[in-house]
Formats: sequence, structure tokens, C-alpha cells
Amino acid sequence: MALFLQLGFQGIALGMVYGLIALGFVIMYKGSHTFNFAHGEIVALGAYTVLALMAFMPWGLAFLFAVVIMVVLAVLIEAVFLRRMVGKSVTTVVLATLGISIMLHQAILMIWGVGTHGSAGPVGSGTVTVGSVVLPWSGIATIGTSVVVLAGLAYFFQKTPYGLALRATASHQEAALAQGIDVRRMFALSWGLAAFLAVVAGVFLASFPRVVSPALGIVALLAIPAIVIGGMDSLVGAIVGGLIVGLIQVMGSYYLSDIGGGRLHEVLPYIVMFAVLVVRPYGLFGSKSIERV
Amino acid sequence: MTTTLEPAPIDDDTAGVPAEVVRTKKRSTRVWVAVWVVAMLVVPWVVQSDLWMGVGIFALIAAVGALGMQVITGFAGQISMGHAVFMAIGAYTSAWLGVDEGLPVWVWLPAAAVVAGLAGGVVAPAAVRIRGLYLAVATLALIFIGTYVWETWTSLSGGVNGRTAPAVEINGQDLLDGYWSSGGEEILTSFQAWWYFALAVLLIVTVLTWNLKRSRLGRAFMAVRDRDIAAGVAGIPVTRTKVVAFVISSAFAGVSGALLVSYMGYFTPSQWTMMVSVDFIAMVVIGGMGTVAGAILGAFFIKAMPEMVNVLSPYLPFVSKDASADGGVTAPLLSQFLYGLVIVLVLIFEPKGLLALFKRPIDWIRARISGGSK
Amino acid sequence: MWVKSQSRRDVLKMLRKAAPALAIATMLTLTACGGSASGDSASADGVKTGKGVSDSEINLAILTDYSGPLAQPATSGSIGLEIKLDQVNAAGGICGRQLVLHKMDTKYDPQVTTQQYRAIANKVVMIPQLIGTSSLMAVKDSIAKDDLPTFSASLNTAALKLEDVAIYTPPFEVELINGLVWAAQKAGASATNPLKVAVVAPADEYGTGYADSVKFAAEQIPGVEVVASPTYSPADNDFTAQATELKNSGATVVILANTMAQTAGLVGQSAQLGYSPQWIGYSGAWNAALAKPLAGLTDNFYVSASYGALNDDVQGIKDMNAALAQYAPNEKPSNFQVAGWLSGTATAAVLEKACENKDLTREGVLAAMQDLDIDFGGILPTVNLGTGDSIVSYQSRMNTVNADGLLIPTTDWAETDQARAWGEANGF
Repeated sequence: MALFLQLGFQGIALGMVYGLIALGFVIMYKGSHTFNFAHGEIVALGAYTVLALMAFMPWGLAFLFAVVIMVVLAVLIEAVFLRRMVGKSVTTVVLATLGISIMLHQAILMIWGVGTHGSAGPVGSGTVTVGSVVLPWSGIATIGTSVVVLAGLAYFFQKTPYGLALRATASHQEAALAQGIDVRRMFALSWGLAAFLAVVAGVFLASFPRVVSPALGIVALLAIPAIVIGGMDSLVGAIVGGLIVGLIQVMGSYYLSDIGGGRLHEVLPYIVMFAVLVVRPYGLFGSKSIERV
Repeated sequence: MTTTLEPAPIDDDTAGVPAEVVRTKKRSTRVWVAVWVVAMLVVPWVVQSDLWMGVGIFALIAAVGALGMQVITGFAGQISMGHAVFMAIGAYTSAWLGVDEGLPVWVWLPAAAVVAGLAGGVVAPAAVRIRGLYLAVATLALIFIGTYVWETWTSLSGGVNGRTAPAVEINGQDLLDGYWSSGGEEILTSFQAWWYFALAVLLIVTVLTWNLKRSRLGRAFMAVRDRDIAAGVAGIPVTRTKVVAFVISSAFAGVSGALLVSYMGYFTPSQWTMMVSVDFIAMVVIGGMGTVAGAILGAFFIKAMPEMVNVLSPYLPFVSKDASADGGVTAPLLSQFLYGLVIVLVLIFEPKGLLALFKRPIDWIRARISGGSK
Repeated sequence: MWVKSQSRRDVLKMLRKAAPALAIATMLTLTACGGSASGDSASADGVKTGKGVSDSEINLAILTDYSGPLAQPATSGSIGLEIKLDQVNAAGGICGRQLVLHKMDTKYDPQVTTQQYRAIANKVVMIPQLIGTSSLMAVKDSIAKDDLPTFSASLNTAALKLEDVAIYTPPFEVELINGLVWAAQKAGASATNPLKVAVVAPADEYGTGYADSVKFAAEQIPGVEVVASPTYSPADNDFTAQATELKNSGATVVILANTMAQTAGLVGQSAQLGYSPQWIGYSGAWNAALAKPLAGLTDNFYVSASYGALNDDVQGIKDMNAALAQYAPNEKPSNFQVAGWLSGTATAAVLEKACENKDLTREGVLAAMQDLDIDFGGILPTVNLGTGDSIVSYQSRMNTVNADGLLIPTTDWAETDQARAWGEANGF
């Protein structure tokens, strides 16, 4: 039983990291209808930036400066590259974000080298024990932060003018334009917000015992099953989808280790994702208006 | 929910063009064609470099797959990131029939097409009920599922160690050894022999694709691509059309995969990655969406680009020649960076691809010629 | 009839559209004409030469991963090889010829490896370093066909039986077994004093092989029992399952057969769960950069390595440090540079012998490799390459790691009966 709880907690903690990454994807999708394949590398870049700044200043400041840098970068990318893709086909936009993702990855390797570095998390390796379950502080911090972020985003979207404007743009661009909403600013806002979430996700993704390394961008790809399962335009769905993926991975690495060559837990999120797409493409919490023939 | 705002590309560029210009185009077309065919036949005798011959062969093989990608994405407008999976299916089919069962190339190569096409037919009905982005991520999932299958189905794939691929044998000679006369003289080197074989397959697939594009089925693809709801109203069975596009595209991918591993001689499950599929999308988009020549051009461009950067990099002052694990602009990193950059630049500045980019000066010249002859 | 001319016009138009492809293809190919391969001949100084060797140059190729998942150790390995070749060239080269190294990036992808191999194969006489087991597998048949002498830097027994491919250090399994035997001796294991050990390995055929070698050796030592053998998948980034399984098994010694990408997670999360056994990794499980995340957790961490460390006080390392200072002064030190240096030393030894035999053809180099003694200047004990199909050495050494992640030797070079038994049982 203790083992089940232990695995469950770790699964939730890891799942929350995926959820934070997924939130960034969802915000960009909601705000500008782009599925940004480069988001994983922005998460990685955020972690690298925090780590680089940590050498000169306390973690809190490093985090804040990194957020500023990443938001500026994301808004620039959106304005320079993606703005020109408005109205182009899905294939074009997907390929463009893939191209940007390749560039960002190589830029990371050129700036910081091909090796691994230290951790960029806010807390170290400390733990607190509750009964027979060990709770790492990094896991607690991840969960706590995710809840706060989710609450903040919910408030933002429901109660603030910018949030409402963003939702209006997401649901019907032309109507939003007619209302006088500056749609270009909404695009920039959604990317900026996603960049902020990317840095948050990045520091937890690179928390002990994980480190900042070129592989971070690929790990972030696991957020894709999370979004699909949760629903591509649902904030709650992103978190729930992330939790499901995290739990599958961690619980599966123990309970499924005897089946399928010991690697079934690695592919299971994708199987579930494919099944969801076939049966219920809008996911658990997504809105039904989504593409189906 | 997402509607395409750009108008459908006009594929027949003789529409609305005066007859005189069309006749001039036909004449110049035949000249270009003759030159192109002769050039492709002559290349293996002119080119001495192993490096570029190898690149060329990989490009010819990739062009077959790129044509398949063009069918599904350029003609039928469905974005698929699963090309690598169907290539792998073709590869493993050919390996099983060619190596394990000892059958010759004219059995395993078509079989690769058939099995991969069937696999496409199995996946397609589920996949094509969803549109756009969802199809992209669904096919992305297929890659990860595929990798898992190849790595665990060890009797077929050889596991992580990989397995041998079938050889192409003409008159009992393995083309990888070159082609020799009965007197023991080398008529063709391995590069030359494989170039011609790959070229032959590519030409067959090219003609098939061209005929497909001009056929009723091809027009149905394009109707579905542009306005699938309208196409449905016009009486085109949309789902079935998409499935057929998937099947054809997967079959071509299977041929490409079988050729690829045969040329490699030995292959592992780890090589069927997402980047393989991304490469093919890049080939058709950069080469020219919706055109046969664009797919071929894109294939050559994508395969040649890393080597072009390698050739250029000693002349670029900011490229560091020494390997370093701590960062710095080295040739391998720069070439990958430029790959991404070129994709983005082409999409921004010439979304119709390199083909359109090349046509501009040609059309300008042609306009001058026909304008001057009036 | 109208239809026929219509479709012919279409075909012509299609081919015409492919003209730009022609333009690109010809432009590329014509501007990139390279030299053709030369056959065997005798040069002015009576040395027989073949492909890759001219009167002034001996051409070599390294096929490694400069931009993919193995980039960090692979790049360091490349640097180690390059500085050794620079040093040999500064001293006059071999047979009066300068060693030229062609660096080919395989990206750890079999297709790219094949492409790069084919591009360079006709131009070189030897491959001093090839990294990546899957890359090696992709070109093994070509290597055999081309008779191209190759040193594999992936210390996997899969490479041992390959034609024309040799490994000059013990394979990973020997490192693992020797590590287990040392731990058992240190703990005083016997039938009355049993020792519980565990082994962590990847969930694939290589992992099964590593785990089996450890289990084999355990059976040979009275009192030693393998109580857990958890596996992992390369995509895992949480190791709670493995750490818990290890902890619950009661193992006091854990043999790590994973790559350096998993070590931080395994050791770190085990520590968080309150589990701190004696960790013994093979040389591929440790990297200096791991000292950062695992700060304070490496007091009981040992590396069983078949080659030496940067701070050894032997001539070989002194030579290497001198070369590093001269040719790669800005590189951060990494033990994989030592591995690369070894490949350079072995290559130089082979080529020197071939020069003595006055045969610098591929066959001559292969012949020179037979039964050749290679002196590594103390970085590891002298090895004899034998026929290239067997394990050349069973000697390894235990190391601890210091605060910077560098290896500090704690024992002398030693071999074990259990490793030899394993080698014999597996036909090496």
C-alpha cells in the first residue's frame, strides 16, 4: 500500500510537470490557434536560462529575469515568424513550428554545449515523510505551484478584461475584431503567457534529480498525449491529461514491468492518446466543435 | 473550425494563358525534359565524388517517399506525421521476404508496397475521421507506437541490434558490389548501379503519381483538400477518398523504406524516428506543395543540404573547426540549425516552395521571349 | 488521339518541371567532384600503399555522434583522438606521412552513419574510432566487405565477433563482473556471511546481457545472491519504481549497468527514499557532470573502469595532458578524453607496426593488428590484440569520484577468475 501511495505521489508530481507544459500548449492553441511544436524547446530554453542566471543571483531573481527574457523571445518569435502564417494551412504552420523547434534546439547546443549541467529547480533534494511515504519537496512544490497557476489562469480568463478578450479571440476571431479587440496583441499575449508557463514548467522539469540537458525538449513532447487526452482547448484538461500521463508512466514502470518487455509504460500514453483521438477527439474536457468528418 | 483562407493553388499553369505562350512552353518543355533525362543518366559517369553519389542515391530513394507524402499532403491535404512507420513496414516486409524467405527483388519490392499500403488502409479509417491538427498528432502517436513494436518484435526486427536487409540482385549480382561482366570486368561501380536502379524505381513512381494527379481520383483528392464539406456535397465520398490517399501514400512510403534499407544493407529499429517524417513534410513543402517535380526537388534539397553546409563551413569564419563539448558553432550543429532556418524562411517567403522560386526567372525569361516575338 | 497527345504533353510538362531538380543535382554533383580511389602501389620509400595512403598522408576517419544523444562523451572522445594524432604529427608522423583525420558526424542514426561511411570509405585506410553500437551494426557488413580496419569505441561484446573490428579494452561486462567481485571481497562475503546484490539494466537485449553477466558471476561467488534486477526504459525520467524495488530487496550493493542519463535519477531518488547502498557503476554509467546533481551523495559510489583517469600519475596521462594543453587548451576535462586518447595510441601503434612491415595497405594494417602489443603508457596495462575476436584484457580498476566528478583510483589493475569464466562460457 505504501508503495502504491509512493508511486502515486511521484506520478502526480511528474504529471503536474507535464501538465504545466501542456498548459502552455493549450494557451497558445486557445489564443492563436497554433499548435506550437516548438514549445518543448522553449521549456528547455527557459530552464537553461534560469540555470545560467543562477550563477550570478539568487534563484528567485534568476527565475524572474528568465521569465522576462523568455516572454520577449516568445513574443518576437510570434511576431516575426508566426504572424505571417495566419491563414496558411495546418501543414504549413506545423512545419514552421517544427523548424523553429529545430533552430532553438541547435541554438541551445551551440550556446551551452552538448553536455548535461546542474539542476534548475527552486528546491533541492529535501524530503518530508508522511507515514511511510516519502514526499520530495520538489514534488510538493510542483503540485502547489501548478494549483496556484491554474487558479490564477482561471481567474485571469474569467474575470480580467485581457483574459476575456483572449477567450473572445479564441472562440471567434472575426467577432472579436468587430468588438475592437486588437487580435495581434492577443496573439502576442497568448505566446507571452505560454512562455511564462514554459519557464515555470522548465524549472520543475529540471528539478532534482533531473538536470538541465539537451534532452529536456524531447521530454516535453510527452505533454502532447496529455493535451490530447485532456482536450486541446481546456486548461483543466491539460492538467488532468498531464496527471494521467505521469501516473501511467510511473505506476506503469512498476506494475507493468513484466509485460511487453518492460517498456509498455513508455508507449502506453501514446496508445491511450490514439484511442482517445479515434473515440473522442476532443478529449475529456475539450469543446466539441473540433474537427471531425 | 480552422478554415484555410488561401485560395486553392492552380495546378494547371496553362489555364488562362494565350495559345502562343503555351506552344512556346511545350517546345521548351520538351527540351527541358530531354536535358533532364539525359542528365540523370549521365550523372553517374560525370560525378567522381563518393560523397555526392551517396547523397544522390539517398535523395532518389527519398524522392519516392516524398512523392507518397505529396499524395497525402499535397494532393489530398491531409497532414500525416506517420510516414516513418509505413517506411518501416515496407522495410521489414522486404527484409522478411528478401532475407528470411530468400525471395528476389521483384517480389519483395512490390510486396513492400502492398503490405505498407494495406497497413495504411487499416490505420486510415480511424485516422481520417479527424482533421488537421488532430490527424497530425494521431500520426505522431503512431511513430512512438511503431518504435515500440519494432524494438520488442525481435524475431522480425532483430531487436536493438538490428538485422540485415535484402540485397537487390540483377542477374545474380548484388548491386552493392557493382555490376560486372562475365569476363570479370567492372561495368558499373556500386554507386552507379544503385543510382540507375533507384532512378528506375523513381521514374515508375513519378509516372504513376503524375497519372494519379491528372486522373479523376486525383481531382477528388484535391477537392477534398480544398473544401471537403463542399466536396462531400458534390458527391465525392470524402472518407473513402482520404483512405485511398492514405493507402497510396503508405504504399509509396513502403517502397521508399524497402529501397532505403536495401541500400543500407543493415538497419535497426531506432532509425524510424519523428525526424524522418518531418523530413518528408519538409521535402514537399519546401520543394513545392501539390507538384510532382516539387517533391523530387525537395527530396534532393533536403538530402543535400547538410553536406552543402559541411562543404561551405570551412569558408565561414564563425564556424569553429574543432570539436568541443562546451558549445560553439561547429559544422554539424550549424547544418542542423540551417535546416530549421531554411524550412521557416521558405515557408515565410515562398510558401509555394523552391519550384515556384525557380519558375520565377524562367517565366520572366519566357515572357520576354514571347513578348519580344510579337 | 487527342487524349494521347494530351497525356504526352502532360508527361513532358511534368518532366520539364523537374528541370530545377536537374539544375540542383548537376550543380551539386559537378562542383563536388572528388578524387577516385587509388589502387595498391609501392611508393618511393618501398612502402606498399593502398586506399587512403599517399606519399605524404595517411587518411583516417572517425565516425561518431557530434550532435545527438551521445554527443557529450563522443565529442570528448574525438578530442582525445585528435590531440594524440596532433602529437604524432608534430613528431614527424608515421612512415614520414602526416595523419589526416576526417571527422564524420553520424548523429547516432544508422542511416546517417551508412551515408557518412560510404562517403569516406574509399578515402581512408582505417577507422580509429567508431562510436555507437547501432551505428556500428549499420555498417558492420560494409566494413567486412571493404576490409577496413576499425576500432570500436563502444565496448560491447556485440562488436567483438565482427570481422575487421577490434576493441582494445575489456568490454563492459568485464567491468561489471570485476566490480561485483571487488564488492564481495570488500564485504567479506561467504556462505556464512551472505551478500545481497542487485543490478539495474536497460529493458533491451543489451541490458539482459549485462544483467546475465552479473548473475553469472554471482553464482560463482559463494554467499552472493542477486535479489533484484529492475530494468528501465530510455524514456524514463522517474525512477521511484526501481529505487523502491532496490530498497525493498534489501540489497546492500547495487551494480549499475545503465547509461549516465539514468545515474542521477537512480542514485538521487534512492537517497530521497532513504536508501543508500554501495553503488558500483561501469565506465559508461558515470560522467563528470553528474557531480553537480549528486553532490554529497557519492561517498559510496564507485566506478569500475577498464581505463585510467585524468589524474593518474603515469607517463601516458602526462603525455595526454601536455597534448591537451597544446592542442585543446579550452576544453573542460572529461574522462572520455582519455578514452579517445587510447584510440589514438592504439591506432598509432598499429600504423607504426604496419610501417615497419612496409605495408600500409588495408590488409597490411589488419595484419599489423594481429598479435600486436599496445603500450598505453600506464593508462591501462599493456594489451595484446590477438586475433581481434576475443577479449584482449580482463583487467580493470575501482575508482571513487571527487567533488568535480573526476575518477580517483582506489585499487590497482586486477582481473578476476569469474570474468574469465564468463568470457570462456560465452565463447570469447
